Amino acid sequence: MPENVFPFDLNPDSETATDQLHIRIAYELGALTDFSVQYETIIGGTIFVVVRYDASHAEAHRHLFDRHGATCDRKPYPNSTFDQILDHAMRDLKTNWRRYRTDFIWREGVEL
Amino acid sequence: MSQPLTKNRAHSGDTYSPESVARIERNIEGAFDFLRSVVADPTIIDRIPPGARIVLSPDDAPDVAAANRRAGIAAQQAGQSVYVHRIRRARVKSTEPARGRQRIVSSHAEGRLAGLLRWGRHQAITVGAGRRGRTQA
Repeated sequence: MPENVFPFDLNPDSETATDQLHIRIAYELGALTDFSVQYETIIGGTIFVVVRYDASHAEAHRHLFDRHGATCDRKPYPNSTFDQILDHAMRDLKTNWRRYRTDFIWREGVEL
Repeated sequence: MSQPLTKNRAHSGDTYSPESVARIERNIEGAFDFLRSVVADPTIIDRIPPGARIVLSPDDAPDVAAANRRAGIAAQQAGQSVYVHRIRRARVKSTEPARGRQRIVSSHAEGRLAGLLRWGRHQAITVGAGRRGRTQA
């Protein structure tokens, strides 16, 4: 199954705060089979994965990560279509990326 | 159990300017626009060179597009492949009928419509006059 990962630098002109989005897409026979969208922040030169929306494994879900990259919270979105999870993930990340980042820093005690 | 996001915690340690926040939010939207395009047509992936950097170029945010292009040019100069994803202005969907169709309908019924309007105004004036007349009487 072909799988592609696309990184997006969200704040390319910034020198102090760096954030990126990784989109992973898998497709088979010309049709999308699963995808994930991952928000990452770079603090002190280290890349931390903060949150990921995952539409694989037949069920969409959202992961929150700890500083070591392990899942510390998993929220399922049962019976969601690709379109629905795309809409939800976009609204959520666009509105809450900063809050996810702040929560991550507080929760994990990351030194800025 | 899903962990709720905090509501009142200050964004401590943030060094984001309002411009940066706007740029990040626009780029999140743009990345999803790219993903939506791929969902609609997965063959787009075949046209992107492996390991290419995706440069988002939103028509409605020229400053964001310019910043992304600058980063794209720098990546290209460093030897990386670049793929520009243009995001066109969103078309506003209207529930009204198409203008051309509206014209055909109005030209056909124009005379009748104008007549009804005249009749309506006439009736209103007549009724008003009648009521006034009755009140005064």
